[in-house]
Amino acid sequence: MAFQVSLGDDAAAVDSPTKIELKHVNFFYGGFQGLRDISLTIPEKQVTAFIGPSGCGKSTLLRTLNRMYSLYPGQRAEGEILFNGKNILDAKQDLNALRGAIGMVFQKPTPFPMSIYDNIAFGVKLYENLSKSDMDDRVEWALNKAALWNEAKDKLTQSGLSLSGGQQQRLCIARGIAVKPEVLLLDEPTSALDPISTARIEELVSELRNDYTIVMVTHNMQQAARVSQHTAYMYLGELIEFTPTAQIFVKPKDRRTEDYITGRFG
Amino acid sequence: MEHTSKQFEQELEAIRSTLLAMGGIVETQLERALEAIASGDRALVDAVVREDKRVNVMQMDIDRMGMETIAKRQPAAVDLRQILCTMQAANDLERIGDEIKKIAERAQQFQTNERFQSLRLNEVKHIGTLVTSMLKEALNAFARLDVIAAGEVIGRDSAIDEEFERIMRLLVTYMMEDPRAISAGIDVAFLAKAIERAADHTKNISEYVIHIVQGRDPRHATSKL
Repeated sequence: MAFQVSLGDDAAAVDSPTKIELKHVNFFYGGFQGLRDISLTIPEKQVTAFIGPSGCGKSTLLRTLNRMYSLYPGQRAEGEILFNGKNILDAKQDLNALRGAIGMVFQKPTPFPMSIYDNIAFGVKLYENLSKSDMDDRVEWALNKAALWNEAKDKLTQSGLSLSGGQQQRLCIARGIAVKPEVLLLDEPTSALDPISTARIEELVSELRNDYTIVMVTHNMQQAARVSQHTAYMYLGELIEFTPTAQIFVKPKDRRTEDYITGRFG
Repeated sequence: MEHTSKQFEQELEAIRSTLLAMGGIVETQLERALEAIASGDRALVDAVVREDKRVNVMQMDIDRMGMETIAKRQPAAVDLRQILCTMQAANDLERIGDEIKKIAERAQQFQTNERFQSLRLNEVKHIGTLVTSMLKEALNAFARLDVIAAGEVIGRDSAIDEEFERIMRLLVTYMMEDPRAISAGIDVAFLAKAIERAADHTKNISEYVIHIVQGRDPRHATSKL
């Protein structure tokens, strides 16, 4: 059973309803096309991993899911991304509401230069008006979910920057889930961390999928194999293969995927 | 396409070539043991017993190399299947080696009885020849990762099983006719059984070829849960 959980759970992989559906998504950085006709469905309460060599478009794809790219001029997406049935690429989409529902954690830990408590309360205040005691509860809840409470409970007033790298990353995850999003996007969440912190984050991701839909970009293929139920292999802006994780690392469908995951690339 | 890491490529090749070398030795061992049955040549039996130790060491080498490569490289897909199946094939070859050793040792202490003399020379030689060529084909299929050849070898196992049944029926008839022949009959039965077991392991080796190439596990293909 433990093995099933760690290397994709086939039954879960098949049964889960769709959380996000991408239909013919193209993405442009000015004149350069970063994504080419991507269609895929991201299942609810599962971990979906994007893998592929640098520049293949996996981070770009992740950034389209909460329209993070809208911050940059000259970047645009075409096609449809249906989230709870609505196209988030629609110009009328409320971006604050979208990013509240689809949170993101980046490669490098990015705590705000404020206390641990305020790092978490800051985002919550944007969306909700909580009393002091409700906010205390929310901060504790988020830190607990992110497996950081025991280490941080006695220094909530200290700066978030005083934590170790792994703790900072868990703080960012706590901050991400404090606003109670439906989806969590993780962009190489452990690439700057040591193996023990990495293991803790992976453990956390496996826990979080009970409550959230998680989409993760990773360069570490073993990590994708360990924590995800679905894996997408991308190359040069195209989606080459999207398969249950249990299958892709043992018997991928596409020759190009096989070459990549076995290290026969380039 | 080759691996980006040449070192990884060399490690996989070392595991593969050790298995093929091991297979070559086991093939020769089987021929020697069958010859020993016919001739009772003591020197052949000694050679089989001596060489079996080498086969055992090679199996341990393959296991060690396989484990080291898995630990170092975290192989996936075809590489993972190749390493795991090669380790399993080495296990089967080692077991074939053990069966061959049994055959050779029994050839020494053979009870003489005229009727069984001819049985042992003709019938056992026949099933032995079948298995020898089956093993040769299985190792060729493994070397070339030839799925079609592997499938043919798997199909031949049932012929061996039938041949074994036939020998058993013959033996029972002879032993019922003449109870003094029972001791020699049991010797021949053990010989035939050891050869039949070698064929089962040979079939396994062919199944690994299919598993490596197609990613499909053909073992127990007809059994359902």
